[in-house]
Amino acid sequence: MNQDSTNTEISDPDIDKLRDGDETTLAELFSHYQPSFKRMIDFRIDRRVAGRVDSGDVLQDAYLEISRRLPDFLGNPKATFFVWARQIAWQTLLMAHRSHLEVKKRDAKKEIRFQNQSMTANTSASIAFNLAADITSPSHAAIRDEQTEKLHEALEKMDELDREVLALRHFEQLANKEVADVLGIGKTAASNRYVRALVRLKDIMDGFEKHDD
Amino acid sequence: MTTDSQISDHDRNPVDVLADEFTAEIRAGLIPSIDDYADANPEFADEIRVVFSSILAIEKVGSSSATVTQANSSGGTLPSLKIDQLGDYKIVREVGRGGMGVVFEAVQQSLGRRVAIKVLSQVSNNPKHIQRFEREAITAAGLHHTNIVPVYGVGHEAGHHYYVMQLIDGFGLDEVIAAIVSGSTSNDNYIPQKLVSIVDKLSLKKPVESGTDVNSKVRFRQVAKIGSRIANALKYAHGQGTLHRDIKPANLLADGEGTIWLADFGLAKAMEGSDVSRTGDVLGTLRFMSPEQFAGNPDARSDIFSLGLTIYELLTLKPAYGDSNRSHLIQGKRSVEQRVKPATSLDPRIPKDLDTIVMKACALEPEDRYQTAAALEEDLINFLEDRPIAARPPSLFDRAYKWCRRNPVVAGLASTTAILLALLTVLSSVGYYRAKADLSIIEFEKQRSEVARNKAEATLGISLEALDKIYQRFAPDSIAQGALESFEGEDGEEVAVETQSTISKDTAEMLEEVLGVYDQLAQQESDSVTLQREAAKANRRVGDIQRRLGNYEKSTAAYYRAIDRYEKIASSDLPIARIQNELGEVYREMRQTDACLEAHQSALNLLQPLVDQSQDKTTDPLTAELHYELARTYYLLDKRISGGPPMQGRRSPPGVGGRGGPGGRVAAVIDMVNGRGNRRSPGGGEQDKHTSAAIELLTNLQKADEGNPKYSFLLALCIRDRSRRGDRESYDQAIELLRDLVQQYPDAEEFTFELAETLSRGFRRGGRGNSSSSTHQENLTESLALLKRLVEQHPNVPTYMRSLARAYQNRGELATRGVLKQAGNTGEKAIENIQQLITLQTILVKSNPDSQADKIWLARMKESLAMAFLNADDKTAARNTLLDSISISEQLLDNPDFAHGAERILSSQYRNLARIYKDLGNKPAAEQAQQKADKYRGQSPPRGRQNRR
Repeated sequence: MNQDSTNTEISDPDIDKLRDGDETTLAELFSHYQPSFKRMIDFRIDRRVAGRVDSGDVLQDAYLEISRRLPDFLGNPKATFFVWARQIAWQTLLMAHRSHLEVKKRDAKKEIRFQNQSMTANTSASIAFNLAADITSPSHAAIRDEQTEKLHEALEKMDELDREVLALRHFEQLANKEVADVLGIGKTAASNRYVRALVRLKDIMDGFEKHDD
Repeated sequence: MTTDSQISDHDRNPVDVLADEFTAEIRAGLIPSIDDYADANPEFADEIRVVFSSILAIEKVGSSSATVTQANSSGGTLPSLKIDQLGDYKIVREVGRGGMGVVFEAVQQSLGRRVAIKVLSQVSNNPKHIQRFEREAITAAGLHHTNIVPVYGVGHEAGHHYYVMQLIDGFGLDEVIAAIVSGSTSNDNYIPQKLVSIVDKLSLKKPVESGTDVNSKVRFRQVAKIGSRIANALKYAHGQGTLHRDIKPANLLADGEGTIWLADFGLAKAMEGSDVSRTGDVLGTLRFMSPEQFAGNPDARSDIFSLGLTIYELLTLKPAYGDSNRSHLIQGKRSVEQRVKPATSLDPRIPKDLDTIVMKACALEPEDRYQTAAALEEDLINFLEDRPIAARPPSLFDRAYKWCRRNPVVAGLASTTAILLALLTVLSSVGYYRAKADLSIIEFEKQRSEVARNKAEATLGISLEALDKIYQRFAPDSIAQGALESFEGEDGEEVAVETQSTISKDTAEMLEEVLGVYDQLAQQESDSVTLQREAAKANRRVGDIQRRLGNYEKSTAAYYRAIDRYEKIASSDLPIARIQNELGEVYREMRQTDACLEAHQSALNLLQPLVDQSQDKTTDPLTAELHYELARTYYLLDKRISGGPPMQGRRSPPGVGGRGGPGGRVAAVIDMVNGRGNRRSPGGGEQDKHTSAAIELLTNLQKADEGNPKYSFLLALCIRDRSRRGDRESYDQAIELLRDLVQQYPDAEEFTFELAETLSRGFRRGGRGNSSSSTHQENLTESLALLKRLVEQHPNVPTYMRSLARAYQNRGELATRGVLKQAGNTGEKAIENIQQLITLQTILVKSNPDSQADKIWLARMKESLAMAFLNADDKTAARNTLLDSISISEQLLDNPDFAHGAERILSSQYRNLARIYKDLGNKPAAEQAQQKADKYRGQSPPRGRQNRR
């Protein structure tokens, strides 16, 4: 389940593989990470366009973009391949949002700003949407309704970074190493942060449940 | 504990490690117990209880949807499908898997027939997609052709979308190819007996490696037959308005009878935009996609392209686009420069005609392909029935010619912007090598795959080629070779003026920029032979450019460096001989006859043994090149002699252009010699021998490769040179040859230019001869028309304008001699002529202020005009014009390089001035002028003597 726990701290075996390999290497790696990227897209897709934007389309566009930019990336990697590729997938998603929401065309400068827009800023909305989406499953609707409500409220009350860590670990199902890379913090720090976030989440939820028990 | 967590748990919170395990169990559908975990890890028990209940809350609610999606899209592999029944169809067994889905054999229960069902793996639930999918399936179901797999229907049930087709009991041609390839190499791979029998049935078995065998002939014909059948199927489908969009070997099925079926019609379109988790297959499909399909606008010709590549792969058993090109494919950038290698280069036994057909089918530009599947089918049948095919292989020249036609804007632009793109690519490639040199660690070599390096080298090669082409457009070789021209002074003195083709300022600036790029390349040091060869070539280019810029010393230095480099990589002697000939040309321009002769002689010494070894097989391209270069060497050896008498020891200096700075771009050497006798070459016999040898070589080359314009062109020049010795027939023959070339290649300006030059020069023996004949007059008129066209098309090439001016000058001379008067014209005609010419020449002088030669020409022209005025009895105009002319000549007296020539001209001008004053009745002025004439005459060597100071 941990997709990359063989990574050492300094280097990224993916990058080594890409340098040694041919184009199929990229295809293989992409296939390997694709489920993760797909979860990221499904999780972060803007609910207003979710019916119109197909995550497959986004993935395909992301793949083309990744292969196009790969030589530049390999020339000067500033992150692991996973983090970089995920970032591109996310940017591709943003572009899809933009074209579907018919935001009027921005000029190049604005585009950079747009791309630098924080991913975490939208996490809260994404969580809300994902939790809401689950309610459609009829069998557990009643129970879930309540649980979901609570979870959502609890997450809303959390610190932004804590919420992000939980989203990455559970909604995107990333491994600790990947979370650390994505957030740009150490692995130990990421791990501790995660455990702490879970403790806080429990505290907040307990606060809601006090009168139930 | 999982292995995963054991490896990486040292830098993680231990509770996190346990949490991971716990989460994994939940996601796997288990119901792990929090208490179990707490009990097993008492030291963290409290924390576990808190943390795990949070996890449970999130996982139970939050990520359930994500977990489901994950199961459905596990990367490149398809989920195993366990289906028993789809509607009317009872599934029998799985027969195959492709990127788009799983194929089952099934029985349609209502009809009791066996069918194939393709269950598509990734059709989205987007209603739009589903609608399109069904629409395409219905279209495909409407196709009825003996080589198209019939589609029975389409449906969706229990979340599965499927396609029902006739069951073809056979294999895809991709499997057939794999079987052929592995069958000949080893027996390790298991190949189903059925597949073996199909390969036999198709007569596609790979021939033995050596020898020309009946086997391979049969195989190639068989491939052509398959191709023609599929082309026929496409012809039909295109007629129905349906594109296939995904033609590749895997979609061509061969059944047990040896029939080929085209499968999955319209499926590509149906699947468009649907969920693509079939990355691996995307690559498989991309390999056969046409450039315009990447751009999203495929038409019938895109199918032709894909079929072309499929046939190519069947012929060569290798993909047309190998690994090194794959990234371009993925990026959708099938560069226009990226051509498929001719199939014959992989297997010379492939019939040339068949190769030509395939290459035409997969030409990158849709316009260059067969325009219809019918045309492709027809040509394949032509081949099969041994009839001549319609497709023509493009020669190198044709390609270059086409390039020029395709890029008229680039070709005509005398601006640096046009080449920026090419420069950028070259520079970035150079940057790549530089980075590599900086890091010159073996480690780096290891990291960089061979593929990446090859790619960079290939890119560099392509850009250099493009750069070379652009460069050639600005400064075509043949024009730069400096035309020698002579005209007669009023007193019968012949004045020879050699003008190295002056390039325009814009061009010079452009060349200087290109020079920078080549310079960088030329300095590369590398272990790669490819790169060393590029560096050698670049040095040669530096030499070429410096020569055009008039920097002769730098030019020769670069040429010698190029020779050194070629010798270091133990290259063939051919490129070295070529450079020796270039060196000879530079020395000719520098008037260093000995060095010039020596260089051409070295070329001859290098080439002769190679040609002797080659045993006259001029059908071999390399041998043909050798023979051609040898012919050129002979031609150049003669050119030295006929181009003027030996020059060493003259005051007229070598390396005029050597004067530093951009101003040193003076690219004109004027050389004025005494006319009498110097046309008669000292070694007439030697000359005869060389020219004859060149002509013989070229005639042989032409036999092997008829219509190659390169040979005809050099042959025409050789024959023209022979005509200088008084051979009227040769002169006419040269003109005829050039006329043919111009007719065939109306846009190839060097042909037009040489024809015009030859016509304008006229046939002369000893200077005068037939130059006043009416044929010459006609020739001059034709020449003027040609040159006018050239000047209109290329206003920035001074050589053309100069030639035009000279043609006017020649006609003006005819006029002043009264030829035109005799024909009923008056002197006015002559005056008008010369005035036109002076207008042109004035433009030239203004736009090339550095060109002293142009000024001398202007002075001479004004002198001619003055004499024309005198003939027309307008003495005042004659005097004024002549004084004007004299003032121009006098400006040149200060220039040590041109003073000598200026004195000769002034002498003639003052003599004429004296005549005019005499006619005007102004005796003192006439005497004064005569004194000046004598003075200048005294300073310049007496004519008729060989004294050159």
